[in-house]
Amino acid sequence: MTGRPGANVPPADLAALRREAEKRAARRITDEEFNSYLMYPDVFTAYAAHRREFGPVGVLPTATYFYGMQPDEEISIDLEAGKSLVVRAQAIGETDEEGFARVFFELNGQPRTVKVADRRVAASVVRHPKAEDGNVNHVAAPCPASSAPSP
Amino acid sequence: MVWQRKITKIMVANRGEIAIRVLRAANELGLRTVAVFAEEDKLALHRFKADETYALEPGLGAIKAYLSIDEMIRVARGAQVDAIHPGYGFLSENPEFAEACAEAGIIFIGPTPDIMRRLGNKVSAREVAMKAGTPVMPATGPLPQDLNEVRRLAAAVGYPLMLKASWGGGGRGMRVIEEEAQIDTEVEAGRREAVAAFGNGEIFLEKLVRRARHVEVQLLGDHHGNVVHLFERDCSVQRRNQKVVERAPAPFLSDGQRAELCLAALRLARESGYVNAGTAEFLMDDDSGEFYFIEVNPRIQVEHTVTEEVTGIDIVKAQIRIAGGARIGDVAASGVPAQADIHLRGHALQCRVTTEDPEENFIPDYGRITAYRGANGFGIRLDGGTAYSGAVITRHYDSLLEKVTAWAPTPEEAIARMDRALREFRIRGVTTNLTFVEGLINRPTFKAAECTTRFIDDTPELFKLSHRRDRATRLLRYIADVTINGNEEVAGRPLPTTSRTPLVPARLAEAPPHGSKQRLDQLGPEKFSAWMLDQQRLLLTDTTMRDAHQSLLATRMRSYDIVRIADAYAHNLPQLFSLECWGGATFDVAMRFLNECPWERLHQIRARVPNILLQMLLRGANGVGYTTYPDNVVQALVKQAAASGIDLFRVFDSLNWVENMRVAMDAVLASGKLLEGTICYTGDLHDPGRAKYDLRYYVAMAQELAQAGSHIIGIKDMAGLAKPDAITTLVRVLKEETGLLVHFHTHDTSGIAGASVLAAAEAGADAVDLAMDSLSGLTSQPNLGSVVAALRGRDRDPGLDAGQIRAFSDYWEGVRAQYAAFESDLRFGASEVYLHEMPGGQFTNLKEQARSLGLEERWHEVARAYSDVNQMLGDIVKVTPSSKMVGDMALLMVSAGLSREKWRTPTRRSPFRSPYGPIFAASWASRRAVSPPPCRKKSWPARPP
Repeated sequence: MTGRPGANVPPADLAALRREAEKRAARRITDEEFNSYLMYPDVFTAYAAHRREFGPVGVLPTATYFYGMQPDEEISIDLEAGKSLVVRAQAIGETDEEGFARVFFELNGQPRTVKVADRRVAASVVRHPKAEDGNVNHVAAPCPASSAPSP
Repeated sequence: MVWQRKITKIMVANRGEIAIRVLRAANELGLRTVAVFAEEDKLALHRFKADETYALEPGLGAIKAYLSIDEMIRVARGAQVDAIHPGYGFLSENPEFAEACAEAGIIFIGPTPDIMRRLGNKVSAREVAMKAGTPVMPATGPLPQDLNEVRRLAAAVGYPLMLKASWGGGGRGMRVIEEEAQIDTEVEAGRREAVAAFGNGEIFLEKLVRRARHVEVQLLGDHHGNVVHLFERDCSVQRRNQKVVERAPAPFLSDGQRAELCLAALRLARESGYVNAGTAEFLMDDDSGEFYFIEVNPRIQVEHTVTEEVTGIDIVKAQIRIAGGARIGDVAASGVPAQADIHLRGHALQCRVTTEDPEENFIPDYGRITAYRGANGFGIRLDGGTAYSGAVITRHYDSLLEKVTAWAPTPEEAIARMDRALREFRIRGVTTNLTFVEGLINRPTFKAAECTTRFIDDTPELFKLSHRRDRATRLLRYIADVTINGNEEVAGRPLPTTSRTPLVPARLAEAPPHGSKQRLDQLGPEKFSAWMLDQQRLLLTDTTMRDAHQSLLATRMRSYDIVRIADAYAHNLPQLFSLECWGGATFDVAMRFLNECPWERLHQIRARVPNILLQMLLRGANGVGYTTYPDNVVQALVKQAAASGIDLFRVFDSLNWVENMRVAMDAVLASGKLLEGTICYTGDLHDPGRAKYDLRYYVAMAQELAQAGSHIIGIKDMAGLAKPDAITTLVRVLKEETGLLVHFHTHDTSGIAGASVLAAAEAGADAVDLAMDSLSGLTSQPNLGSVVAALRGRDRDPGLDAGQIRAFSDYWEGVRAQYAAFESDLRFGASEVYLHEMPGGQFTNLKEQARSLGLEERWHEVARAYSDVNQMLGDIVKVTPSSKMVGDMALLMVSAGLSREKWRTPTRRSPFRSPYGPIFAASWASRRAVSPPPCRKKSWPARPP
């Protein structure tokens, strides 16, 4: 091997990679995001999936981001200029026998309940995984079902 | 009033939206109300809108319960009601139910069983229409079993044809037959479907109008022979023969056409002796303008609301009063004036909000509505079923959630009002068709009232939906998840010691004063460099937003904390030369561990700091990654970073190989930004034992960088090895030999880097990197406030305000407290750094890695091994990514019990088989590369020279 390593790397097919990136992110991406993908394809894909599921978590206060909220705690979230949310955590429910816990919020003064899988008890509970967006190996079924093994 | 004597208590034999609509009307009339519900509907809202509510026999089934005549009569008798309103669907068009009511002595609110029979059957309805002189669609009678005969009848009407079930409705059981060849299969399938859906296999064929409008006339008849029409509705916007949007009046009709149509409907009603509310449906051939009668719906329609809006007549109340004997024309009794006094006023349209997913072929969605916010205001009417926060949408019933009706004086205003209302809706937890109908009513075809019944099927653009962002729901999901499950990033780590919100320094200036950024934009990089050379003051780079937290807090600082103070930097510290705020490890850590976008961070800082240079760290051919990227990828990254806000690129190569930096440096020059070609400092300049990294080495490299176009020469002392006298010599010689700008960067791992910074300043360095006090020291940069204080009043005084620095340090101190989970327990400067030569940015990370491998107690062995690996590799420059490789190998040696000596004997597995391999393989081939390492031969497979 001689010369600088970059000289031995063929140019990236940017158009093809962009299609691949958008397929993996399951949405159109910006030029900037495409650069993120070029640097870190898997990291960007995981980030995009997290964003799809949980939104722009960067707007959350740091303590909330790392530790969630305590009952009676109230935070203000600035989504963008002139758009903000007031979130108050009211209560944290018990985890039910299916392994789900409910967290009770007030969002801008209106009640909201969020049901989350409690992964601390997940091992003892049967889960029904959902198909992932953008994953061609996953096929969503309209109702829970299992496939019979072929004879 | 007659009706009041007859009806005092009313039962609604229906559910959902229409049940509530009827209950409301009855309530306004002062009647006692009764609702029924199936077991599956026990939480449905209609239940709670009545004075009395009774359960239908459990076990009948969600739908069948509402279809059971016996059960309805049983409940009605038990509740002693005088009348039953059937709503629409279910039993509303069933003559046997009307008869059963009559037998039970209960008034059925609707037409007589006889009228229902005659008009409910489409074939006999046609006969009535023809007798009334109402034009009908050419069609066959009920189809015989003999398919040859069917073919003959079909040919007589002419293709294309529509196959319909005689007892059907709501678009079900309808099939298009284009040609004779389809007859056999379609007729059989249609018959089966009719049996399954309506319990009667009678079907017929009808001429198919391709460009059709669907127009219908609302009729009301009383028991005294009076019949009136309430004008027409346009229901052309349909999907698979199901109405989606309805309007009144039909905006495309002329007054003459309207009068003709309504009169034809009236004739039909008179001919049949129609009583109560009904609707005559017509198809209008858009090409010829001809009307054809289709059928009469002998019941209240879903879309009756638009007619109520434009005529002011409450059709449901009228139904009840007429059933009680009230006379049309006697407004006090029936609420319905004579025909001459019924007028149109304004325009109305109704959209059906359903829990269907337009992108998934309108599959009904079900689940819990987690949040519901409706739309109201002038001209908006909502007829909802079970639509509220917490409501559960079951899969048992149709997906209609809410009917939104907008009224306004003009069609344009009504559409605008509807658009507003739809956008105002917030329904979370279940998928709805809201964005679909919103897109639909905004189509030019709809606004121009040019829709035919094919509109939805022929407009694929309708399915390209803009997604509502629904950020709040997603964020709540995140907060809930972290609250329950924790964030694995901080699991088992120390908790923050304080919860106080860091206080952002108060702004000093109204607007950000001009600073280095404006100067660069005005002068361009060449003249800007000349300006820098002229500066007597020491120029300061604040590294707090990048290297300081990369070195102290494992790069975990979130944009939230950086962006909050960015504005204060612009207003209060415009004297700063640059903010190092991007690149290095921050790029991937932002995405990987913080789930945020590094580019968004850059935008947010840039937007708030319009006046200070923003600086990034770029790893040459490794971009902001750990591997070698294709040239065009590196070029794209630089171009984008420049466009997105970076002014100063500090470019280095992990082996000080200028050739390997050239692509990145050329890209920076092409972008018109400042290029800081950077030397990584290692070894000890004054140690004759480390002759490899001597003065000549650095000067030669600086000259190469200058030739490559660097505006500034960076000295990146990533491990903090540059002792004061060494940096004095290096800076002085570099300035003398190259005359270039020198920017010095170091780490305080040793504890004496502050002295090196002061020495560099004394020797003539143009700019230095420092960190705000509370994020300075140890593996981070030296203390900014203290350096400023040391230079106060001297010729190189940077001119920063001590009070401001303290205020900023206060803020960062508060921020740092929240990242307790990422602090290393490093408490003192350590001269050990001269042994291992570990970069400050790597130090805490490697310590963390050692901890995770259970080597916490053997840290000093790791440090020793790190040094050994460096020597084994031939004394290399250690900075990302070369440092990461050395670190990984050091950990491997300690955990596997390998010594430097053992390494020399062949082993089966070689740590050289790592992603970093190619970088080193190439570097050894370069002219600047180190001498072949002793271990190379056996751990590196043979390659061409």
